[in-house]
Amino acid sequence: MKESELIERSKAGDVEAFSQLIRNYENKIFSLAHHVCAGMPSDAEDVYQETFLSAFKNIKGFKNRSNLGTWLYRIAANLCWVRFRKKKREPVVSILDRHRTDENEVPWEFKDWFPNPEEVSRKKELQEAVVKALSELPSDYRLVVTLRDIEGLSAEETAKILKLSIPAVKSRLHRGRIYLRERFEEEFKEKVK
Amino acid sequence: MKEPHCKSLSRKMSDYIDGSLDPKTLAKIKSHFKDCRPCVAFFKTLQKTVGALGALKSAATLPRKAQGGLREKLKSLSHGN
Repeated sequence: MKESELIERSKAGDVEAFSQLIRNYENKIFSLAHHVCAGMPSDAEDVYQETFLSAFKNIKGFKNRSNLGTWLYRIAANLCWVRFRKKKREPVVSILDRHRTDENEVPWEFKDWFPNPEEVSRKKELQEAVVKALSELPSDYRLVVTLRDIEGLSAEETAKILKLSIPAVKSRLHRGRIYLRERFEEEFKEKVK
Repeated sequence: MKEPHCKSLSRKMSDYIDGSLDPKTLAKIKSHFKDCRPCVAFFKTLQKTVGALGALKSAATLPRKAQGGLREKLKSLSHGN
């Protein structure tokens, strides 16, 4: 059955149609929640479930010309954001400002100490270090980095999902990457010989 | 090369990685790389940072329990519970 047909049936309250509809999206939504709620697996499961329960309740308002994936990602991103704000996990002073992201403070000596992506996917220890560094990014930045660099969405799609301008997405992405690069430097200089 | 030049170019390196640089800036960076090893190292490590994040793409496995729980909750919603 076509997606448009499944959407229409879902709008009429057909749970079976909705269950079929979400099959193509649930791994992606869980992956987003898993990485944004880094280190908190039960939160990731809650965000995954709440996203689709909210989508089912509100699907009548979904405009058929819109992209269902973008709509679902937007619900999930918003749930992640609200969750972090509610739990007040965000530091008062941004981690990004504490680290050396100010161009005047960047030391201009760099060596290529970094493991290859293949090593990261192969070695659990390295993967855990990446997840840990990601979990320390403020959620606004983590959402952008996750959507762009982990989920592989374009700057345009990410901007639509997060209701940001494209320059704002690019700026957060770059600052997030710079922060993670510094964290990885601290982590991997010791581990990768 | 002077440091301020390096720093202003470093802000463009994410765009370079993402392939969204205009040809003029791209040529400027490539030319700069020829005689600035710290910038090359910075670029490589930033590129690998992006690669390391990409390596996480398949790391999340949706637990069957959560998937089953969602289906149950959807069913109960449809029954008006």
